[in-house]
Amino acid sequence: MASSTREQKKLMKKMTKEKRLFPVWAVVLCMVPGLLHYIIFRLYPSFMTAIYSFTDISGLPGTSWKFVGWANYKEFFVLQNTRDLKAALGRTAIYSVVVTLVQNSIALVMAVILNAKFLRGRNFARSIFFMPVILGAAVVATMWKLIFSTPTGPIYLLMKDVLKIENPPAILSSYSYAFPAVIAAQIWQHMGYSMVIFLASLQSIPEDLYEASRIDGASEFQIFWRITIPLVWSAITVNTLLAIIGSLQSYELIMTITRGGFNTATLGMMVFATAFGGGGATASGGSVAGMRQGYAAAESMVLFAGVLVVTIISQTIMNKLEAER
Amino acid sequence: MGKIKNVPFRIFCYVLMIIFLFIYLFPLFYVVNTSIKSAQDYMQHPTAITRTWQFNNFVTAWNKADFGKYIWNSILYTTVCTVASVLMSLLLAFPISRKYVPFSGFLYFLFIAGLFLPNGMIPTFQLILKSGLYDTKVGYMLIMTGVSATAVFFYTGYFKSIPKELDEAAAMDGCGYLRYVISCVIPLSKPAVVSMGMLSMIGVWNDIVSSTIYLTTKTNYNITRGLFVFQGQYSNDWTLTSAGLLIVAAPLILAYIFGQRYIVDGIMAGGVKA
Repeated sequence: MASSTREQKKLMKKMTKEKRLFPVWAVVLCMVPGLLHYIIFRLYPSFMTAIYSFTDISGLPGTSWKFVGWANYKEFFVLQNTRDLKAALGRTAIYSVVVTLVQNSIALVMAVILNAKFLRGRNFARSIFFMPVILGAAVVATMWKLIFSTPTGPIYLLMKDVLKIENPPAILSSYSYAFPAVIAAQIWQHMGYSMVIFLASLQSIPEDLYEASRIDGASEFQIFWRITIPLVWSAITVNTLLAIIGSLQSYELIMTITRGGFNTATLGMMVFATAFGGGGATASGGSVAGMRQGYAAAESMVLFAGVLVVTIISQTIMNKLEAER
Repeated sequence: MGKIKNVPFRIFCYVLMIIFLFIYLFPLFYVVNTSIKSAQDYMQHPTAITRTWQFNNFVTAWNKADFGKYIWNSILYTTVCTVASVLMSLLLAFPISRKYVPFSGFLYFLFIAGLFLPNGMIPTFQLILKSGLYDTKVGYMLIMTGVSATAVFFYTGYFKSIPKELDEAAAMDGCGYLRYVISCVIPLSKPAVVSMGMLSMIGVWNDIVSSTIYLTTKTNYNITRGLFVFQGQYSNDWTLTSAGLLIVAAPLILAYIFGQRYIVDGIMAGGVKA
């Protein structure tokens, strides 16, 4: 009996082996280009970022470089003007928190509204809200630069002629208003993305549940708070994490709108500016001197560690909140 | 089941939707409006509805910003990178999902791990610099091509819907592996391929960061760089910038109109990995 099962197993093994239908060499050969590209342009650079963060390598070709130990990290945390460092880290935190909260709140409310069957034009609204996601940083940045432009832009003229503000600020070259403007552009661009995730989650809630609570006399606000929020909690978690991670790392809009000037540089923007110069997306593309890529790699590692820690903390908090519900 | 109509709530919903539609549509209309104004009209009444229909702006912008040159570069970059990305990801994801190669599980893990690794921007730059590919079309396309974890993840899920018996039948009939993938697997997973392809196209077309880093010669510029020609240090020519903006955005908007479902699916797949 025992031997027959063993034989059966052997036979099975042989059969499954024969089921490997295509020759392995052909399959592997087809995988080689993708695998090589992934190793060379994804895994290797990630790994080397850690190594380079201990060197003084520059972005200029033909210059020598050496290992400098923890010097870059020391410079970042200790030697660098602490006021500047605090300001940049503070801005990164504000950027991330405001974007996450505002973007997700608007997205959730919009998703709930656009999920209501009676609303005409809701499909149109959905398409419009999602569109900026595909338009990309260059287009969105240029659009907002036009809206905020001085002295012919609509916002400037609104402040001057309608609200009768004397000497209204030039928003994008103002040390206090440029940053909120960039945050607004970021939220404007990505709200539709969060909204679609919420909509997918909302559509899985059975309609009867709402009908029943309405018959029981629940107000729309109560329904939102007691039924919708708990049932889309997993989508809230996903959206929160995505927004936190995305906003901590993103700098495309900052780069294209202000080039990191006027107190808008977050840590992600600093990495870019340190590595490739402050010259942002100008037509001349000017590469400014001071491409300190070793130092930029260290900044990049700090950002990476920050994102990791924040992600773990927020994941824990979200899970705890869910458990309490 | 009597439907309970809550009129104030309905009005509230409409008002909120209309407010946000305004916030989203106003910039778009404003750009369109500005793009067809004559320079003089813009100087006098920058925010008013246009009195002129200066379609000539598009021609001027096209010529002045060298869009004629950049657009061919962008088409080249977009096509090559998209085809390469889609093919490479497919040829990786298929055997991994079918476990046709040893260490499939490990390979899958390797791609998912890529989502959590630090940004490799600086070593990539060093690599391109040292290999002499800096400021070349080939170098730029190598950067913009990508086997993303998203794609591998997305395809792997999709391939489960293709019955394994089909592989067996094809192999039995002596169909070669590459031919099988190209003539059977790709057509059968068309929605997934279109989603990922469109995602890649949008990414390459919109790129401004890598283009700024890697391309310094104007003959290599992609189309988004043309947008910044009119945005000078001190003055902006907003009518031409708006026209240029619409030229860059037009293919995106067209793609969105015709392939909205695929685009949304693809982009969402990138996000909802958790």
